[in-house]
Amino acid sequence: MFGLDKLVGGITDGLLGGLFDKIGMPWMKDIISLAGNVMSLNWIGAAKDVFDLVSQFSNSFDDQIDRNQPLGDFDSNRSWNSNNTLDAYRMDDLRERADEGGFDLNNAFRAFAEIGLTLAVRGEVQQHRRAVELASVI
Amino acid sequence: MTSQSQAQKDFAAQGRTPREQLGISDREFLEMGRIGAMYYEQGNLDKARTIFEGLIELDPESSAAHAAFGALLTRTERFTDALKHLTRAIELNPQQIAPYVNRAEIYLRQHRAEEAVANLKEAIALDPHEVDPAANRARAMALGIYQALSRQQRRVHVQTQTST
Repeated sequence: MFGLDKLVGGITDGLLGGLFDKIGMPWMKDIISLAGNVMSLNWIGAAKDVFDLVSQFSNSFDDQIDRNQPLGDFDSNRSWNSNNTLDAYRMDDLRERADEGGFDLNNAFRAFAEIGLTLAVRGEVQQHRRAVELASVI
Repeated sequence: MTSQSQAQKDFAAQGRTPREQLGISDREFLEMGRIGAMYYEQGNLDKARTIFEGLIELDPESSAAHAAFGALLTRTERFTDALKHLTRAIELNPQQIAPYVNRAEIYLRQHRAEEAVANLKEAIALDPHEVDPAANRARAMALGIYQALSRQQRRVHVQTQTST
């Protein structure tokens, strides 16, 4: 019917279902199980595009898949490191400046407060770590 | 989409975002976003939401902020609002993979086939070497659709043989 039968040869329904659970897409199993007439009518126009897409996959991409809906630019390099520039004092400063400037930014104020709290905790953790390192040297 | 506050309208009229007026650097803004991302990854979506909404208010022209908030809304199945933010993110930066992937998920779950596949194609085309985890999520979706279509193909084949 579609003239393309590639890649899926070694993939069984169960394996794919397991994959979708593993990568945080359990809802995908419902999509797959909807192989009735409604599905075929709805998808018939897109079928060739899908088969063309899949035919180009290398079979090794599933080593690294986002488990959650991907965030974009904020998502990369999530770990904190010593190059971070923000601290709780800076957040206080921003809040004060926004307040003094008469800024009507309710969502931003809440965000400043949340980020400030997080940074304060991070600062305490880093201080504690430094203290432990110093004690181990002494 | 969150409604535009009077402050945002005032800032827009002045041609400067609140972020610019407060002197928040690109690096600081990104770091704030990553704190939101940390909460998102931990599943603390209330805190993540607070931060992403705040970042949009600070910079309504930030594709990263719209993309992140759109992802959160997709995750919490608020699809109508999510589509608005994801579409805005793409308008602001068509080279970001994530908003296409999340739009594809929404369209897929709404059985809007052609729109879903169009977004999967965009996401996959932006990552030809299969290294981006977001684009690979799009590939996994395409594989699922492939399986559904293959199953339907087999069913039609069997029905045709039976009737003849």
